[in-house]
Amino acid sequence: MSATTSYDVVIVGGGISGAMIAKRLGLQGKKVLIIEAGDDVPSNNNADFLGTFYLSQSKGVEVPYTPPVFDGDPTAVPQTLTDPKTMFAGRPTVFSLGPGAWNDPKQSYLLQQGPFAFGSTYERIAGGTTRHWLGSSFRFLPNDFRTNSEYGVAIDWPIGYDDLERWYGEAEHEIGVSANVQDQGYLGIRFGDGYTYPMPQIPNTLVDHAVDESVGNVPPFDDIALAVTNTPAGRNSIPYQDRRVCAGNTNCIPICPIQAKYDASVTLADAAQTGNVDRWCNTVATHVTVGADGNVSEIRYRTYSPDGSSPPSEEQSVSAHVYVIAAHAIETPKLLLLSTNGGRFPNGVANSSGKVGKYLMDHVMYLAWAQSAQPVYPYRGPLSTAGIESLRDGPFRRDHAAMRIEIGNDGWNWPISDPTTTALDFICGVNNSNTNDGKEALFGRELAVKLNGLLTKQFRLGYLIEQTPEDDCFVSVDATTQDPNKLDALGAPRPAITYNLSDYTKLGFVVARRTATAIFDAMGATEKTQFKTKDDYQPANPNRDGSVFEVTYLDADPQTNTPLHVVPAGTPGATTEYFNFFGAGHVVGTYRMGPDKSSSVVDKDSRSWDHPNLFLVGSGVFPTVATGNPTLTIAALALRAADAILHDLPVGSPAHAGP
Amino acid sequence: MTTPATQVDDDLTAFVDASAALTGIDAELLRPQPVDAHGTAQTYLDTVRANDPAGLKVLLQLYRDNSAKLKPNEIAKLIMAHDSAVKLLGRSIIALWYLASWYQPAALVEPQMFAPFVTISVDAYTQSWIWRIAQSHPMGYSEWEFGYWTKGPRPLTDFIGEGKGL
Repeated sequence: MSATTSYDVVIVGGGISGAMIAKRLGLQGKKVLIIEAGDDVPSNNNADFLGTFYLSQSKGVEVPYTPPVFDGDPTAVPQTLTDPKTMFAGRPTVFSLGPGAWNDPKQSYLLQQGPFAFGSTYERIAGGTTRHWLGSSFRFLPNDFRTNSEYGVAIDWPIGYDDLERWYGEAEHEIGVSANVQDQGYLGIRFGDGYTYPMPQIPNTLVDHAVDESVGNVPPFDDIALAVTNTPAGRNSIPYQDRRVCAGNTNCIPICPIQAKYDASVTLADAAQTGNVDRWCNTVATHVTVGADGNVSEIRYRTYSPDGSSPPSEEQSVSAHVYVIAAHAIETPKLLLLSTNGGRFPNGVANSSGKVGKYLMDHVMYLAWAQSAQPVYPYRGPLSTAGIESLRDGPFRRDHAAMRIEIGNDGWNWPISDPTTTALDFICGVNNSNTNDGKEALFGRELAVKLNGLLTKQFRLGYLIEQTPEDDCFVSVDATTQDPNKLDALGAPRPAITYNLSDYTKLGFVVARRTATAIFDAMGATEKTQFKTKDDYQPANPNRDGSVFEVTYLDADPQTNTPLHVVPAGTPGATTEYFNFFGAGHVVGTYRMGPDKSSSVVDKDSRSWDHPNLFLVGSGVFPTVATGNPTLTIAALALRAADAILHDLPVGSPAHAGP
Repeated sequence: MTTPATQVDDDLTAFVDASAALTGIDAELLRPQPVDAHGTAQTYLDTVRANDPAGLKVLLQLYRDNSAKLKPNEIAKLIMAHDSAVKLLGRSIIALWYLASWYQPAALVEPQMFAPFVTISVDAYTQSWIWRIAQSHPMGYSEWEFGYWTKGPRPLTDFIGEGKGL
């Protein structure tokens, strides 16, 4: 093993957190190295990725990016998932979540232990998971930071909204968020005097307007009236950061063809422009070494050639004053847990609390879809431009999960892979879309007009439902495994996921289904959601659908002041329902911040309690998943951490470069 | 076998006319004049010929034999009421134009959701007609400008033609 150049700061991970910290430090003259496990930003940026997307049979979130989700020829029929053991920097994919796949290590990069399938994925590539994010840039609510104090649920954050307010503003300008302050000041969100978003809002679509016109007729839920609110978007409404204005490609996930949507490759480029930030890609961090003084002394890594043309390197190392692990909420704990330092840290570094890997969370998603009474013209505009934020907070949080409701402009593309499914239904006389009960097989003008009538009335609601931090949701690694199906191509153990859903979250689904149906009714729309049944829930079947659950509950009873609550199956008067769920891509909470080193991994600045020169950034620091899409808060916390790092670094000349 | 660009394919006119009858999209739009910048019609004809030459021959002959005496939609009815092989090829041709993808005719008897297909090309994807039938654009290929989504689209006939000749 050989040691390499010394830097002020080494950052593991070239996603939004790593990029933002690198840019801030680089602008201050600090010498920074980013180690990125995956491929670099291509010289043609999105062009090849877009071509892969166009040609792929499956348009799922990871499809455009590398390493390829499917083996070999992207046009092959049928497609075969790339075996995770062949990938140097593997990552999960939504295509390995089906029955028989999600818990098969030959198909799933994550070693899913159940009882349910963890449904969210991430990228390992320069730019990170912002490559395929939607762009929704929500501030969390003040109450999101204090659910224990307010509702006796979960835990409080060690910081509050006011601690982050400044950083939210800075993050909104780094990302480039389009929104109007007057729309966003709900449920306690506050802005500094005179604050403005960097760009005006992205206007709502006709789908949004159709929901907005009727949602006032939905009976209030817990005295809360529902309302439609424009979504703050990391997407250009005017030219910004030398990038174009959104052209409504309806493709923010997985790829914006014109990069009107921000992704962290933008900030990586800015960081490189400072002349102080190096970026090593196809470089996988393998070990965090701790010196005798308790500080981190080096990061070990291995390099590889993506095409396998040369064997991976032996382990090498690089050192710095400060180290930042910014490798997402699954790869970060994996690296920490594997860094046993020859047995000196048998539970991994930064883990005196035993909390590394613990309290994995997501926004679990409920999807509902309907046909509107009149055309709403979906498949136009950005993927989502507005939502119903009214249920992000309220007294009900004592009893069940909060949620935000995303209004989709993508018709039924997500629920049933439309327009393909409905088109084939009416070409072939089948009914996979649940819109062709008569199994008509049409052709000619009659077919085109029929499809026009159906496709222009499609819309869907996506509920992002809060999970609480639970002991039975965690990331772990088996450092001793020799099973090749549990390793990656570098021979490193892959992350294992244990995942469950709490009653609190399951009741959120019950409320989600009710409100969705109520919204559709108020609109005069025809609900087409394909509900799950008892037959879909087979907990003892190893080849089961890992995304289906059962919940039995009793309704709220105002007379006895009893809230909606879960009861054992068979309870008299109880209702049992079956749901399937999706991941929101919001992987959160595996190295949480907290008030002390016994209950948390990092402090409020994202600094390891155990190792003062180690910062762990990204969504893993979230103590709770809160009620907004996480990226803006990830960015805000990263900028806050950058500030703390700058204070730590020696004043004066940057680190010596060169051996 | 791909037809050289300089050689006129004798089947092209009949293929486009039959395609218009099957898809409900005006033939003039399937065969842009004076130049088809994307070469879509020829590419699709080549695709069908490569995958089902016998079926194509029967289908085009049906069209030619009846084009002087029947309206296009009536010929489409004949095609879709013909034997199973021709009917299924008719479905494949509709799916080809709509979805820019080749579905084997045998796969279109009673397809399940996510039936396998091959997208013809990047260029073809951007020209797939199902999006225009939805008065929209392919996901990931908008040629429109910021804010277009705040207004209703142009009428369907602006996207797929008047259908008068069908």
